[in-house]
Amino acid sequence: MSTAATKAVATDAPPMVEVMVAALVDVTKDIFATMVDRTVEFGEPSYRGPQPTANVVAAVGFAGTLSGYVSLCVSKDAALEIAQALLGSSAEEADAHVRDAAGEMANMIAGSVRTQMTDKGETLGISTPIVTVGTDFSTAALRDVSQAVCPFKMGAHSLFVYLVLQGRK
Amino acid sequence: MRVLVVDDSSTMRRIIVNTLKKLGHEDTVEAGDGKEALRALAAGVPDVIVTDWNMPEMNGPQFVEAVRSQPALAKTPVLMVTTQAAKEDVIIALQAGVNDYLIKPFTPEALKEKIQSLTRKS
Repeated sequence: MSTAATKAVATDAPPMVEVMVAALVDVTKDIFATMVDRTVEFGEPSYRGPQPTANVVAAVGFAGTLSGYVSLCVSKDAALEIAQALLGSSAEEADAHVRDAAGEMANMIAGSVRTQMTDKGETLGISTPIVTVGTDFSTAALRDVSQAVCPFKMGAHSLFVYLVLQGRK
Repeated sequence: MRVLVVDDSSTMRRIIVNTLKKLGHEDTVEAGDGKEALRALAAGVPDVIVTDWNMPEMNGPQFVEAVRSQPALAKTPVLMVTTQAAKEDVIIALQAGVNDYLIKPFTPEALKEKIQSLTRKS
């Protein structure tokens, strides 16, 4: 867990969100390093919404002893770079896979967090990824939920992992 | 060596196929779910099957059980590549007849080692 995440844990953020943020930071760094050979630098988490504005948003829901969703929010350029690196292909080929590549990254992030939370005694299932691509849209959590925005830097690109957790504080 | 890659995500199939090509395995066949894979298997037995877990129609363990029920495919090495990493998931996969297990995310080196290990054993 990074220093920034540790500092955040020491604040008054809800405990389960803190635990999940720590897991999200770990797995996101690992997945970007392993699958796309990119170092992502973690910034300072914020424990409030809304979901960051982005051109490509890949969300995966989870349900079980915890419920909510995780989304990966990136610009179109960042999504294309991720797709290209993930596929090991040309920009032309990668362009057709931008949605699926973002979905796969979100799927791996959620799946890896699920594994970490399972190790902590939780029982979770995850949904298939849903990817939204556009230029003028926003989302809002409609219920009383805990939220966290985890910002990362991938070179010149900013990317965000957003967490919504319902029920457990 | 022929590898059958079974995954409902065309992107994940492309990732695996591209990785295999870089490792020198050019002969690959792709299927988008278990049923399509069984049709591909009826046309020819590959040297290795690489399959996902979460797929529509027939999930990974169900597909592997169907593979193992066919005498001609009883010994075909099967590698499951999945985010399902809990201990009980691995047990379910092994009980279904999977030979080895690779958890996403994975490095090309990890895929190479698993494929080489499976083909050495078979």
